[in-house]
Amino acid sequence: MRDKLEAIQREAAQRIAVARTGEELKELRTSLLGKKGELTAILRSMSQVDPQERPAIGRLANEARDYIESRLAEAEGRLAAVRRWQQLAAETIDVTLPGRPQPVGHRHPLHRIWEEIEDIFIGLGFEVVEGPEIETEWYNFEALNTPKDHPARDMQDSFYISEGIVLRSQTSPVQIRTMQARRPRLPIRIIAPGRVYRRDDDATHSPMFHQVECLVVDGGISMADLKGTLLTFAREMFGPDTEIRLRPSYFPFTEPSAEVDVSCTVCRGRGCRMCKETGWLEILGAGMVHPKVLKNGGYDPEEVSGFAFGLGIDRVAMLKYGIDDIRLLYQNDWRFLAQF
Amino acid sequence: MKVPLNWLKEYVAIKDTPAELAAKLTSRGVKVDYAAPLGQELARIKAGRITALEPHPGADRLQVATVEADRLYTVVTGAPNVAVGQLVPLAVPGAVVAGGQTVEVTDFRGVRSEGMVLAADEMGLPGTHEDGLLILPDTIAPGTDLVELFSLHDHVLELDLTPNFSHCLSMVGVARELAAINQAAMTPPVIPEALSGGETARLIRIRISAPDLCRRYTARIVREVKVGPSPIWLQRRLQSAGMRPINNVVDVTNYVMLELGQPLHAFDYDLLHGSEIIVRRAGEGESITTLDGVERELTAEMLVIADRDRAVALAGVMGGQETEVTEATRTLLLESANFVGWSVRRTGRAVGIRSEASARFEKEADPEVTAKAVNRVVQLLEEIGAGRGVEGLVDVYPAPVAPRKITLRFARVNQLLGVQVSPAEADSILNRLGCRVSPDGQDRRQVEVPTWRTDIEGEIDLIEEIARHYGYDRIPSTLPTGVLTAGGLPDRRRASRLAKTTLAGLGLAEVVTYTYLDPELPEMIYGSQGSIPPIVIANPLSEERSAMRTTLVPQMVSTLAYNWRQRNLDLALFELGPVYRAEELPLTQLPEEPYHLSIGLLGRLDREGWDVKPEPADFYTLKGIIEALAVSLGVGGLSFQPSDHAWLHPGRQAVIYLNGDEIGVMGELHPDVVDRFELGGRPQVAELCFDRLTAGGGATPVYRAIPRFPAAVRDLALVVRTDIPAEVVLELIRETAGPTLAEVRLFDVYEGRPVTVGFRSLAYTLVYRADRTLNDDEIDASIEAVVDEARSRLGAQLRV
Repeated sequence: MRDKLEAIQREAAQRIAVARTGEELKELRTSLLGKKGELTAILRSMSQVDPQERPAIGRLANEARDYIESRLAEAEGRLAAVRRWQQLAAETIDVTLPGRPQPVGHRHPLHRIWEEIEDIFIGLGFEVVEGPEIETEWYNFEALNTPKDHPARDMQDSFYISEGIVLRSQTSPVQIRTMQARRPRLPIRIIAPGRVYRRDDDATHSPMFHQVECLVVDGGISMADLKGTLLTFAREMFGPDTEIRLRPSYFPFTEPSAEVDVSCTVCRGRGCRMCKETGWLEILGAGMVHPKVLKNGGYDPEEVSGFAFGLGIDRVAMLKYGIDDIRLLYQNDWRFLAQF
Repeated sequence: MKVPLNWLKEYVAIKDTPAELAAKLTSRGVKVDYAAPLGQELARIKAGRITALEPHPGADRLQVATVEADRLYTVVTGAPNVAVGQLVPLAVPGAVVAGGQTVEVTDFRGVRSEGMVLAADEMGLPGTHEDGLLILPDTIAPGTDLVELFSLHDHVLELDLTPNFSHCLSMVGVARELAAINQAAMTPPVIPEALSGGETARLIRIRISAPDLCRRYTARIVREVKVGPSPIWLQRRLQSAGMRPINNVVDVTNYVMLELGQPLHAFDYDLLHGSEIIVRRAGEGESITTLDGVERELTAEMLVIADRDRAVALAGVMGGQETEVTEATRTLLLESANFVGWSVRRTGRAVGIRSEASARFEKEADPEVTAKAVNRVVQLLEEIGAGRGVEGLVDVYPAPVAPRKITLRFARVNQLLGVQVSPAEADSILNRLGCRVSPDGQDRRQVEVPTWRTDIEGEIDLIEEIARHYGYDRIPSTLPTGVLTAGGLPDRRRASRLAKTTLAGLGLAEVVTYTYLDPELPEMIYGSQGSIPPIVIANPLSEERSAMRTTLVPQMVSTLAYNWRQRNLDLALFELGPVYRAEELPLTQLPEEPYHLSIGLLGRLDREGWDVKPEPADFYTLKGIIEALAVSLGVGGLSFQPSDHAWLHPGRQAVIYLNGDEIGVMGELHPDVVDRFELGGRPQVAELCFDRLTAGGGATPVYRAIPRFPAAVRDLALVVRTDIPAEVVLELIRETAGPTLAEVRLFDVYEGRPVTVGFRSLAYTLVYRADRTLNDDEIDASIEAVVDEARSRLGAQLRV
């Protein structure tokens, strides 16, 4: 009996090991463990075994069944893995074929820069405000210390709508509007991005273009604060090794006034075609808010001071993306738009 | 303004290279665009006397001259005006003439020519080749180096001056700034003074009847005038400063204007009626023919210089033709006046003249320099032998301008600049700029500002002067301190950012068009009746750019058309920006500037791939984009109703409502409009009022518990007439299915066999849900109710 069991076990292991299909395994299970199986037959014939030996033989029989079960399970696992592998192998695709195209949209370069500038200043605690594009002459000029018949009016050739109403030639009128709305609260830290209009039209000037105005008013604001803020902005915008340079200039609504250059974004200050070999790019006008402008905004220039600057978004976009003709920004050619 | 360095050197020593000089001046606010070399190539040009002249043996038009310079030279020349005895410029072998050509010994048909005799332009001097050889004055010794004598090696600074820097509109003014920068001494021209009155006062009476527009009028008379060309040095100066030499009288007045900044005018004294000058406003209907030959109508706003009978000059703008200096002029009246800037500016604009003189007056000239300037003119005219000054001068100066006195507080200087400027340094800067500084306690100064600094009006201007010469580069960089502020975006900007991000995510590209357009463009879309009257620019660059847009669709369509012409055939575009709507025209108040959103689709939105062949975008593509946008913006309650806009396909357009308010329109562009724009395909366009779309949106979402009980799902297909809008069927289902209907989705629309012609099958998925498990009977009852209602109200059949 004992030998028989061992023989069954041995033979079963061999047959299981060579089984190649699930069908074969199924048949083996039936023939070994099924109702008419060899092992079952043995267990059935236990009655014929010497009662003293019965427990031992019974244990052996159970061990043999467990052994066969585990062999079968193992083999089934192995065959399943083979089947899975075969299935996967059959499913192999050419991963070098292009992906199924998904629609990808594009943000206009001007607005990418516009938002980038906003985000830099929001990070510095500035609020973004808006102002009208069709503006009164008073807000656009007079309130900004630029009276009629003043030569400074020549700096900006403006579009007129009707008596006293213009297309704003700068975002600076927002300075006055903001101060009037907030006086006497302090501090004022705002930027005002938007469209502005001047009667210019060539490869670097568009009759409509975009500016960001910045205004800070508080007690004790200095030109050093202006420089620091500009430097922080320039480094965020153009990279951490960017330098700035201020040159004395003139705007009716700031004093002292400055033209601000950044180290050339192309050659990093060594001199190239972009910066006309100077190493510097003129990007914005800035200055300390003129006392008359603070007064027009409703603040006492003896009590508070401020700085302001105006930055051309188009210019920054052109510098940053290497666009050489401003008109491309407004042509909206798909082949241009799809690059951003 | 052009500043030749050879000229500038007369008033201040210059040790810097032209590039250094340009950088220095620019760093102080006197912006130099560039320093251009002038005549630097010229070399070895000498004065030579023609001692003999013979015909060329082999050429009719050439002559062989013997020229005496440092030695005798044989030179072949074709100049028609050559004559024995003349002193002319001689380029000896090795010389370089204007333009860089080197002169060599050359064989001219068998005659050896040792150089060239030159015309003025060949030395870079004013004049043309047709004038022939430049005849030099006999005072020059043969052999003299003319490059050196005429200072032909020069550099010219091109200044780009800001409007406040009128004090730099002269050589002396620029020299003064340079002296202040370099802490160098100035050597202004030494000018003999004429005493007030004298014979001059007997020859001319001067009256200012408009003292509000003319601060000062100073005049002198010059006799024995010989009008002719200016000497070469004078022509050279004017030319290098960018002015064209005309004759000695005009040239000298221009020279002095460039030197001192004071515009001057010369009248032919003998042509003035009544020996008098009246500075007055023009009479209505009065006119004058100016030097340029144009007759100009005058108005009572304009200031004129008049004699007894008529206007003889437009004050500060241009002289009159009738009293112009000509070769026949024997006596001059020289005007050196100070006119008020805004008046000159207004007159100049009104008549359309911008002259060197008016540019200086507009920015306010120094009223104290008139006498000095007119004396300088007389001095120079006498020096060049062009006339002889009459003793005395007439100077009418009703209210002399006193130097401004300004209090300067050092605390203010340091606070505004964020630096500590020492009082000694501040004093030194102001002194160098011509101010008189007197102490007023430890912390203050009383500053007397020179009259030539017409731009300095208050303390802030002095602070700027100190900052400028202290050096902006010495100001440190700090960040503003004080109360922290949060910063952030206004609601509209926040919503527009989200909308743009969503639309770009859906595959659309953002466009930016001009906010002004051709007024005909909207008419091409909407017809002449359908367009909203635009706000119009009074002084547009062109008619095509004169109307402010009232809607975005016209430019969206023309952007599609532009791209179509460029063969960009698959387009999905959007624009988000303002339109301009007037309540009444012409504008009396500022208009509304609401943000609108336009979308334009043409061709395929989805890109073609190796296993995807997308269909062109249609109405439903566009509608889907709008619906997705609304979801993203948190806007619920959009509905679309058929509409009848003439510019859209009559059967494929809808008005868009938000909670009952009309907020936009969308549809397929009418084929007539497509043809008008020479477009192709089936463009889909939409325009929505973005402000109204987002007015109620963006609310914070409130979480609803995820259902604990499973939903029961049933499909239901109804066959209805095709003219019944799907929206109506949907509403009916919502109304009649009962409270347990959680959701209903249209999943199929079918027309064709076996469905009867004129009918279609609409298949819906109905999702039922409640706070318990629903049983089949309830659902069956609901479906039955829907079918019954649809049958009775819409004549619908259940499709089985």
